[in-house]
Amino acid sequence: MKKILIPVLILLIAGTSCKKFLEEKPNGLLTPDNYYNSADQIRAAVNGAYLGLNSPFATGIGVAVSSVFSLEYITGYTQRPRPSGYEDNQFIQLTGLDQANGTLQTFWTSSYYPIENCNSIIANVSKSEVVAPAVRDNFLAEAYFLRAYYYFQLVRLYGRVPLKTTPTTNLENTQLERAPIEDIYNQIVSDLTTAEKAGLPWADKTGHVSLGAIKSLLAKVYITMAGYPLNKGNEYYQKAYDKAKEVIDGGQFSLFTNYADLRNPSNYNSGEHIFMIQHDENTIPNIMHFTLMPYPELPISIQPSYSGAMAPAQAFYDSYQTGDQRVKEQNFYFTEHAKYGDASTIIKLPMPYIYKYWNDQAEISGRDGSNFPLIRYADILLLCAEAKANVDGGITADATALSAYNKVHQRAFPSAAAETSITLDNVLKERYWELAYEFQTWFDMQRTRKAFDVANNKIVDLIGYKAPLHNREFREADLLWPIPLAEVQKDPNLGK
Amino acid sequence: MKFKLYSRPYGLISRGKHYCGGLLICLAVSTNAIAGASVSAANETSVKNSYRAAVTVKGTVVDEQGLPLPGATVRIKDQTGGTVTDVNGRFTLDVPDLNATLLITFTGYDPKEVKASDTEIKVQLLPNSKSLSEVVVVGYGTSKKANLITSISSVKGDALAERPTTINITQGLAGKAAGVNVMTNSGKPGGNPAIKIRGTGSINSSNNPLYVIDGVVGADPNAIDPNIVASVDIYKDAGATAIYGSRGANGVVVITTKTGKKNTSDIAFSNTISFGSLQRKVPLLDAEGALEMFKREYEYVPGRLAPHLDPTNNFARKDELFNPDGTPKYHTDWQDEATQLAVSHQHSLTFSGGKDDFTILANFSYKNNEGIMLNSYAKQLNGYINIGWDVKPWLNIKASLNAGGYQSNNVDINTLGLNAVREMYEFLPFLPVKYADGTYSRKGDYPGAEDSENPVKLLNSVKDVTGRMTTLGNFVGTFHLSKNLNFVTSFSGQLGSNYENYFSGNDVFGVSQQQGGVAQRTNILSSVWSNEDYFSYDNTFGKHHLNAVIGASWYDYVTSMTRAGAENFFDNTFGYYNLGAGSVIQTPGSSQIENQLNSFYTRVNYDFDGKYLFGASFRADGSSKFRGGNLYGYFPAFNAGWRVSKEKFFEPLLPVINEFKLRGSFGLVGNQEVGNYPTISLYNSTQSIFNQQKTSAVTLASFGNPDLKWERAQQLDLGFDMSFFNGRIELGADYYNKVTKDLIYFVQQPATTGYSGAYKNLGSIRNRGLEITLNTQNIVTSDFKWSSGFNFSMNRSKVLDINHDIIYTWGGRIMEGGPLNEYFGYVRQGVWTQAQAAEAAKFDRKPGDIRYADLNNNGVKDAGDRTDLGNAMPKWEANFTNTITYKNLSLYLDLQGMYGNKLLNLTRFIMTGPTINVNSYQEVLGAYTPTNQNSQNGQLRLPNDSFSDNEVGDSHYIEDGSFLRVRNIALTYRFKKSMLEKIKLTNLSVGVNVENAFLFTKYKGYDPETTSFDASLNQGVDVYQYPKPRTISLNLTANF
Repeated sequence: MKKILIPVLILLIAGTSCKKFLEEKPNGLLTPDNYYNSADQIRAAVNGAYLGLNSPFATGIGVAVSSVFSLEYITGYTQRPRPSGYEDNQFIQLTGLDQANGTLQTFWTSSYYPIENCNSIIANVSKSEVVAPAVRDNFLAEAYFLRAYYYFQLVRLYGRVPLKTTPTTNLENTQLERAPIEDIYNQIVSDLTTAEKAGLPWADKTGHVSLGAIKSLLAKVYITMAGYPLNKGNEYYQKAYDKAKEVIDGGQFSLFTNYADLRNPSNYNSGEHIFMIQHDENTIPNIMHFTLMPYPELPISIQPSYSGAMAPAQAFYDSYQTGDQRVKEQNFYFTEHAKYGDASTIIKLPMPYIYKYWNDQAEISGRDGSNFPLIRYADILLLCAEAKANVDGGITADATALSAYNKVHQRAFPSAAAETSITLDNVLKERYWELAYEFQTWFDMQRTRKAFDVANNKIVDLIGYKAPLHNREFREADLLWPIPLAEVQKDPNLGK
Repeated sequence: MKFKLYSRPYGLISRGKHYCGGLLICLAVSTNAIAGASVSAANETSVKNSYRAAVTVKGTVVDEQGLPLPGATVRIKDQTGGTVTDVNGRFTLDVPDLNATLLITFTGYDPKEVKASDTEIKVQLLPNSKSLSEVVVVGYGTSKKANLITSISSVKGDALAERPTTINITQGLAGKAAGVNVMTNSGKPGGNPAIKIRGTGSINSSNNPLYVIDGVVGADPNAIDPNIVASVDIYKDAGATAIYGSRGANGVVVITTKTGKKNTSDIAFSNTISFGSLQRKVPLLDAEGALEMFKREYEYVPGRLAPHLDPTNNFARKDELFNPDGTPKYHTDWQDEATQLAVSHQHSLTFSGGKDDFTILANFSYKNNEGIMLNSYAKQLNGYINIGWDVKPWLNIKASLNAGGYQSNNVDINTLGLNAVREMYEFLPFLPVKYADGTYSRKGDYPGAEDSENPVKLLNSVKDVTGRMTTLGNFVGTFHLSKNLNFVTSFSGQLGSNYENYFSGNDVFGVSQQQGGVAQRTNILSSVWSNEDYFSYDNTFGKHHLNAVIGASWYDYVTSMTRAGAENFFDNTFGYYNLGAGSVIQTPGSSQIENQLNSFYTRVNYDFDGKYLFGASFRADGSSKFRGGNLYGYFPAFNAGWRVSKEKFFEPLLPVINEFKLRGSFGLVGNQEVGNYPTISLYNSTQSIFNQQKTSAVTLASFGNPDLKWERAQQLDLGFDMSFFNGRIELGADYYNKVTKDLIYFVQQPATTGYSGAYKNLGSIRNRGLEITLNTQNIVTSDFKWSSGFNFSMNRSKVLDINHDIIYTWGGRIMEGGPLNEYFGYVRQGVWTQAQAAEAAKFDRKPGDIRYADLNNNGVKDAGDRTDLGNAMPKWEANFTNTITYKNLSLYLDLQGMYGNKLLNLTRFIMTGPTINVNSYQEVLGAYTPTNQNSQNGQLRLPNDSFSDNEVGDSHYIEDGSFLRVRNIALTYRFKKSMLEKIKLTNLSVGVNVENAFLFTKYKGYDPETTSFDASLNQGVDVYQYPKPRTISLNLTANF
C-alpha cells in the first residue's frame, strides 16, 4: 500500500505546480495591460471615439426604424409614411414620452459609451510619453472635441445628466448624481477651448476633427447657452457671433454653388461640410438613402424595400416660398423619379419625399456609403446672423451678419436682391428651410423656444403651438426627454 | 519532493511532452506495485494446480429462447477457476468431484447453480427479471443498480436508436428519461434538439449538460453515431454529478460505447430506408382567398380597387396571372412545392467478438437523411473501433477510435430574413413557381406585395452547408494493483474540424443580388486533450462494503476560427469554391480561444450488508477562466440510501414488494461555462472610416471581473425505488430542489460607466420538480407479452434574485419572483366596433382597429399595459411506451404528451396583421368588416392607410401548445431461429416504423415542440419553423 501512495503524492504535487497550466491566454486580444504604448495605438483609440457619432443612426434599428428620426418626428413637421409602433408614435403624435421608450436609451448610451472612450483616451494619453507633446495634444484635441460633442448632445436632450470625465476603474459605486446644466456646459466649453489651443489644421479632408469644427461647435454651444435653458443672453450671443465670425474669417469654408454639390462625394469634409459622420459602402454604411425612399415601395432604386422613415409634412413643404431653389425637384425634395433601370419611365410619388440624402451610387449598388453632414457652413452662417440679430435687439444691419445671411438666402433665391437688414424671425425661418431634416431643427426649437407656424408663415412661441402632425400643442414638459427607465433602475440617483 | 511538471512553453507539442513525463513517472511507480500483484497471482495459480482433476464436465448454456449463449462464465461455486462458454455456448470444465456445484453467470441474466454431472449438461439462463442487478456507470466507476443511491436514468443504446431518423444522441434521448426534457425543435434532419436536465438554471452561462464518452469528460456528443452507443446514463442529482465538479451543474450525460464480447463472433448488418412527408399543413389562404384579402385591403377606402381588379392598372404580369374577370390562372400550394418526399437511408455494419483475453468491435455506418424541404439534408459517415485486451494478468487496456464526417444543408438560416422556409409560408398562391418563359415568380410581381424570391428558387439558389470532421481517440490502461485496487490512466484526444460554407447567387433578389452574390467559408479547428488518472478500491469486510476512487485530471482546449468571404461574382459557377473570383473581398476574421482545467476528485461509497448505503464525493477544479483565490473551486456531495426491503420487518411484504429503497442526496455542483476571458478587461479592435477608407479603430469592449468564480448549483434530491411482483412492476420517483446561486450573471451597469455591464457572481434561480418512472410487464405468457414504460416530469422555475433587473427575451421577460420562459405583452381584447367608436377615439383608434386592454388605466396605450401571458415550458410532460409481442411479431407504440406549454406564434403575428402584404392564414378572412364586427383581427387595409398597431407577442399570438403525439409506431418481425440456422444467420428481423405518426394539438403552427431561438430562455418562439415530417421506415437487421 505504501507504494501506491507514491503516485497519489505525485499527482497531488503536480497539482500544486499547476498554476501556470491554468493561466489565461487571451490570444490576439487587446487589454489595458498592452495598450497606449505607441502612437498607432493612440491613433486607433482616438479613431474609435468617432464611432459614437453614428450610434443614434445604427442602434436598435428595424425596417426603416432608427432612433435618430425621433429628433425630426418630435418637431411635428415630419411624417412617417411607413406605420410604426408606439415608440415612434409618441414622438410623431406628441402623446408624451414613455420612460421605457427605446429612443431615450439609444441616445443615452450613444453618448455615454463614446464619452467613456474619450475619458479613457484623455486619462491615458495625457500622461503618455510615447509621442511628442505636439502630436499628443492633437490627439487629445480630437478626444476633447468628441467628448464635448457627446455631452452637448446629452445636455440638450435630457438637461441635467451625470458629468463624468474620468475613466471607470472599478464597478463599485457606479451610481452618479445628475449635474447642474451649467456645470455640463462649462465642461463642454472647457473641453472645446482646450481643443482649440492644440495645433489641429483649419480643415481636414479625411474627416478628422479640425480647428474649423472645434470653433463651429463652440459657436453652436455659445448660442445654445445664450438661449434656453441657461438664458445667458447677449454676452453669449456675442460670443457665438464672434466664434462664428472666426470661422467665416478663417476663409477655409464656403457654400457650394448647387445643392447637388452637398451630395457629391468629392466634396466631403471640405467646402460647406465642416464636420461629417464618415461612412463607406460596406463597413459603416449610411442608412439615409434607403430609409427615406417612398413607402409603399416604388421601384426607383435597386433596394426600395426598407423605405418610409420620414417625409416632410405637406404643410412644411408648402411653407417654402415661391421660387425657393430648395424645393426645386431633386434639390432637397422630390416628387417623381425615373424607374430603376429604365430612365424613360417616370414614377410619380404620392407626396414629396426628402432628396437631401439621395445617393446616385447607392441607387445602383444597393449600398449607401455617403457621409452625413453634422456641421454645415450654412448652419454657421445663419448662426452668425441669428446671434447678431439677437445682440442688436431682433434686427441687424451688421455687415458680417448680412453677408452671412445673404449667402444662404441668395443661393435659395438666386435672383433676389441682397437684404440690407434682417430680422431675427427671418433668420430663424431660413434655418428651418435650410437645415430641415438634418436633425438640427429640434435643438433650434428648444433653445429659442420658438416654432415656425407654417400655416401662417410666422415664428411663434413654441409652448402652445400645435405642429402640423402633432395631436396637441407643445408643453414645457415636452422640451426635455426623461432619463431612460432602465438607467434610473440601475442608478436611482437619476430619478432625483 | 517538488518538481515543476509544467514549465509552460507556448504550444501544444511541448505541453504534450510534459504529459508524457507525468505518465512515465506514474507508470514507473505503479510497476512496483504491479510486480507485487503478479507474485500473488502466481501463488494462486499454484494453488489451482494442486487440484487433481477428477471429472470433466461438459455442457451448453442457452438463453431464454434456447439459443446458445456465448461468453457466459462457468465456475465452481466457492472456488476459484472457471471458464467461459464458446461461440456455440459450450463449455468444458474440470471439477474435483461430482459433488461440485457449478455457478453460471452472464451479464443481464439471473445466475444459475447446477450440480456437476458426468453427462452433458444443458443450462438455460433467463434474463434478469430485476433490472436492479444491472450495472450502471457512475463517475469513474460502476455500481450495481440495487446499490445506487443517486438519481440516474439509464437508456439502452437500442432505445436510443429506435427512431430511424435519429442522427444524433440528443435526438435519441427525447422522451427516454424523466426529468430530461429534450425538445426536438425543428423538423430538419438532426432535429435541432435542446436538452434541459431539471430545468434552466443559468441566464448567462450555458445550460447544456456535460457529456462524458467512455470516460472522456467534456466530449462532443455529436462526434459519435448513436449506433455505437451501448448505453447512456443521465446523472441528475448532485450526488451523481458533483464528482464532475465545475461542469456538472446542468447534469451529466454519460455515454458508454459498445464493445465486443469475449469468445464470440458476430456480424450485424442493419439497413433502413425511410420516406418523410409533411405531417400536417398550416391553414394558409389559397389563391382565391389571398386575392379576397387584397381586395378587402384596397376596399378599406371605398371605391379603391385592388390591382388585379383595377382595369387601369396594367402591371407587367397581369395577363399571365389573371383572367379578365380578375380570377387567378395559377393555384399554387407552396407547402407542396417547397417540400418533397424525403427519402433517407441508413446502413450500419458491425463486426464484434473476442477471445479469452481480447474483445473487439468495429462499426461502419452511413446515413443519408433528406429533409422534407427541397435540398435540405444531413449526411453522416462514421467509423469506430474499440479494442479491449487483458495484456497481462495485471493489465487491461482499452483503445477506441471514432472518426466521422457530417454534413448538412441548412435552408432555414437567417431566421427573420426572407429565407426559403419563410417564403413557403408567405408566398402568394396565385403566383406560379415559374412562368411560361422559364423565369421564377417573385412576390413583387403582384403590385404592393412585399418583394422576394419564391421558396423554390431560394431552396435551389442559396446554400448553407455546415459540417464537421471529428476524431475521438481514447486510450485507457487499467492496472490491477491487487485484488481490490486498480489504477486507471487514460489519455484522450478530440480533434474537430468544423466548417460552414455559404453561397447565394448574384441573381437572388433580397438576399445577395445587391452584393452580386455572396460566398463565405468559415473553418473552426479544435483540439481537446485530456488525461485522467485514478485509483479505485473495492473491498468487503464481512458485512461492510467499501468502494473508493481518488484521482486527478488535466484538460486542455484550443479552438481557432478562420473566416473569409467575397462578393460580387460575375458568374454563379464559382459557388463557395473560388472566393478569389469575387471582386469585393469581405473583411476576414480569425480568433483563437484556449482554456484549461485541472481537477482532483475522490468518492467513497460504503454500505453495511447492502442495507444502509452512504456515499460522499468531492472534487476540486482549477479553471483557467478564473483567477487568484477563485482559481480552484470545491464541490462536495453526500448521499445516503436505505434498502428497507432488506430489513427483517419487511419480510412479510417481500412476495409483493421485492425491493424498496429510499435515497437522498445533497451537494454542490458548478457551472463555469461563461464566455471566454470574463476576468480580463478587453478592448475591441474595429474599424472607423476616414476619407471613405477603413482605418483601424479601438474601443472599450468589456470590463473584466478578476473576482469571478463558478456558479454553484445546490441540489437536494429525495427519491425511492420499488419493485413489485418479482420485478413485474418497477416504480421510481424523485423530488428535487435545485437552487443555482452565484449565477455568473451579466450585471447591468449604468451607461455612465461606459459599459453595459460585467460578469459578477450574483443572483439565484430555483428549479423544483418531480419525476416518476413506472415500468410494467402487464402480460407475460410464453407467446404473448405486453410491457409498458411510463415517465412523467414536472419542473417549476423561479427567479429568486437577479439584482432587480428585468431581462427581455423574445416576447417575454425575466424578473425576480417569476418563472423563466414567461411571456409578457399586451392583452388583445378584439377589435373596436362601431358601437365603441367614442371610446376608441380616446385611444386615437377607429372601429376596425385592434383593441388592447388599458391595464394601467391611464387612457393611452403604453408599455405599462403589458402583463404576463403564460409560460413556454410545459406544466408537465409524460412519455408512454408499449411493447406488445406475440410470438415473433412485436409492436411498439410510443406516445408523448406535454401539457400547459405556451408558444409565441410569431409566424402568425407577422402574417395576420391588418396590413399584411404577403400570404396569410385563413383566419384573416374573418377580420373585422362593417358587417362582421366581432373579430380578433383588425380590419384589413393597406400599410399607409390610417395607423393601426399589431403588437409583437400580444395575447392573440400566445397559443396553447399542449399536445399528444404518437411519436413512434414500430412493427417488427423476427424470423424463427430454426429457420435461420439453415442460412447461417443467427438473427433476422424486418420491421416498419411510423415516426411522428399523429399529432393532436390546438396549436396553429406546424408543431408546438419548437423554437427558432436559444431554447434555454426562448423556448416556444416560433418564427417560420421548419415543419416536422411524418416518416415511414422499413428496416432489416441481420446477424451472422
